[in-house]
Amino acid sequence: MTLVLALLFAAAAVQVARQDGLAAPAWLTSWTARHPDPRAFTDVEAEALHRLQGVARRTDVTCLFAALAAGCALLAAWPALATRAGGVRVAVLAGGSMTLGLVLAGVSVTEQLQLARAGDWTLGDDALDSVAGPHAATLRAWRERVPETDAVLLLGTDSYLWNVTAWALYPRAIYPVLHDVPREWTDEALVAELLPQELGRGHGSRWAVDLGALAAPGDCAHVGLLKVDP
Amino acid sequence: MSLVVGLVCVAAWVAAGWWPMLALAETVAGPRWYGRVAWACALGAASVGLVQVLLSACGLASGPLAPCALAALSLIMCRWRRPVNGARGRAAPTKQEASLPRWLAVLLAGVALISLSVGTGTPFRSDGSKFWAPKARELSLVSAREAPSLHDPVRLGVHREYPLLVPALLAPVFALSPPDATAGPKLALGALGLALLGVLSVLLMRCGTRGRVLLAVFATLPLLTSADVRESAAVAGFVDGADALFLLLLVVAVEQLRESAAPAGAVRAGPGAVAAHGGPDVLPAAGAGSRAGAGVALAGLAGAALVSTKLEGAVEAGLVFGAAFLVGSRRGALLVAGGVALLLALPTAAIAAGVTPDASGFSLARLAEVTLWQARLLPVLTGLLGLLVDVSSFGLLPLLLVLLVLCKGDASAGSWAAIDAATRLAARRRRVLGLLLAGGALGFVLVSYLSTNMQAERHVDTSAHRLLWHWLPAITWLVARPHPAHGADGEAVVSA
Repeated sequence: MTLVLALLFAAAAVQVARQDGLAAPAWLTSWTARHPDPRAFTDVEAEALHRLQGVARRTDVTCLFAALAAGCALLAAWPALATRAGGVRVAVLAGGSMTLGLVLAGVSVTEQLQLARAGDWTLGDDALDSVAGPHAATLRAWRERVPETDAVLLLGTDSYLWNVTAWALYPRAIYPVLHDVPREWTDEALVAELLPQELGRGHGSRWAVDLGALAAPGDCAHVGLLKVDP
Repeated sequence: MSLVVGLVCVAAWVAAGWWPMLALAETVAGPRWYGRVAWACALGAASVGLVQVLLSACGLASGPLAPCALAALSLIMCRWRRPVNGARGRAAPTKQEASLPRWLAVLLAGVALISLSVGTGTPFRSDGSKFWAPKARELSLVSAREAPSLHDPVRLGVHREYPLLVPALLAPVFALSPPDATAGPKLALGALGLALLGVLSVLLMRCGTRGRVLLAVFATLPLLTSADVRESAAVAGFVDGADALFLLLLVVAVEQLRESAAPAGAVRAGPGAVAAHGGPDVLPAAGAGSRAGAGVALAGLAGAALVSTKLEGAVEAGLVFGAAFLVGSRRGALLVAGGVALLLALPTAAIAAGVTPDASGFSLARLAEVTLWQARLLPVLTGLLGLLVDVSSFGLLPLLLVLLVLCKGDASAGSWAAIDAATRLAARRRRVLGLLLAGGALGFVLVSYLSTNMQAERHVDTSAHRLLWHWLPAITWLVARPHPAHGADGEAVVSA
């Protein structure tokens, strides 16, 4: 019986794993469509969230079936497990969970080895390459140019670039400007926009960092780092 | 270099916590080295963190002085003023502790190594890089009273009101590490995760078969070893592991207090049997008087550390103290412990009161709107129920815990009859305590997500699994504790 269940769960796991994602139940989708959240999402944001949730749901359901299959298979192979674990159901859940955990621990080791080969896993003293990825060299160069006593106006809305740039430019005073800079703006236009503003004054010179230009330097008419104050 | 600094910092925590471990928790920590080191690390981190926060509130940067001074003080105290519990020597290992199966030891060591490796080798990500690590870096240079990101409203600063215990703990490692190093601070953070695993191991090994099974399942939780940023307890550099550790310590301390009120006529039946207070022999060697005193101090320390670690830690501490108070034993001692916790957490409150306030993340007033309930209740509830099958983070542990809770009441009438009334009352109180904690925690997260100013579905998606992680070790331990009618290993219960 447990062997049959193991096969059924394994088949279900394979079936679910083949899908791109698992959608939320229809009744829930219908309810949320009729009663939208007061803090509304744009369609793009909602689609992105639901896509991520669908993938996460598929992963969880696949893992659930796989763990149950492993638990049942363990019990079929070693019936005494039920006595030692304190019951059949406990043995299935515990055995399945442990098997899944061990497999995923093995996956973690493999991933760590891959990350280490790519330079994204290190025990060394310089983790900037790992923190900032392809932007590390640029950020290092910017750090050389901007004195620690100066202020940096950080322009853009990309949260990942926010974090890595703020990390790399520490301990300079960082002032956020949560706006994307139009790509067609020239250096002069950007400086002219920022120069009259009071933000960041009192730290020596002010510098502007545009995260859009950091992400795609070839697409912008201005550079990623420029000095605002003459 | 940074890695060595991290190691030295962790060693300082262990040294700083050694005397508190001997004074407050020697019998709970047990005779095994890993249990004692884990408890010392946890109590050392709590003590050092609270002192660092106090110094930061007084205008001093969080440097290496406090951990070194506390470590030296602790070692001097161990030499010159051996605690009362320690004077009797180490508690003899119980049957369960002595028989840690080799496969389980290997499993725990393997998981610890992989977890530490994945955490230490990867840099801070997500909230870790957004505000926890930057706060630690800043506190290594200036105090919380002067930190520009906490007081300058136009300067980059995220969640200014968040408690600073963990950043203050990591600050000395940042101070002594090269500017781009993350391995040392991540190692120190990982040590708190290992302390959690060690403390829980000692506790669960005293809970018979059920405890050993739950320990094996807990040790193989995918989130302990995962390299995925969202689902890992180690990679992103969050402080939720520290929150879970201090919450577990607080629950243990409160149980220690409750059990110190056990009836004098009830005795242990022998190795593996259940103590007369309705639980396993959590404190096998200490007397009731010393247990109560240690329980008050431990609850105060753990409660303050919890309040000083995360914003929701204050609610979690309040829930634990409130539930224990409602259950009804040792109310006076609980009040004293709560007072101690509040006193020790005053610097955190003072810092939070002085920073530039952020926009509120929650609007409780909106809970009066019917449309809000219509829009959010169902998605939030389904999101929270979904945590039961968040298998990629928690394996099948939540389902297993639910199963064990449902099976807990199946003691036969005969076995119940073998227990005296006081034991039955204590067992019922323990059950009520567990239900109050679970209900309170659920109510708190429900209200939080209903009143959030974020999009509720997204908020649940990004943070609910971390809130469950806070409670999971404590809940696992409470569920693992055997029913008094069964005995720790199914043996009969005997009372005097």
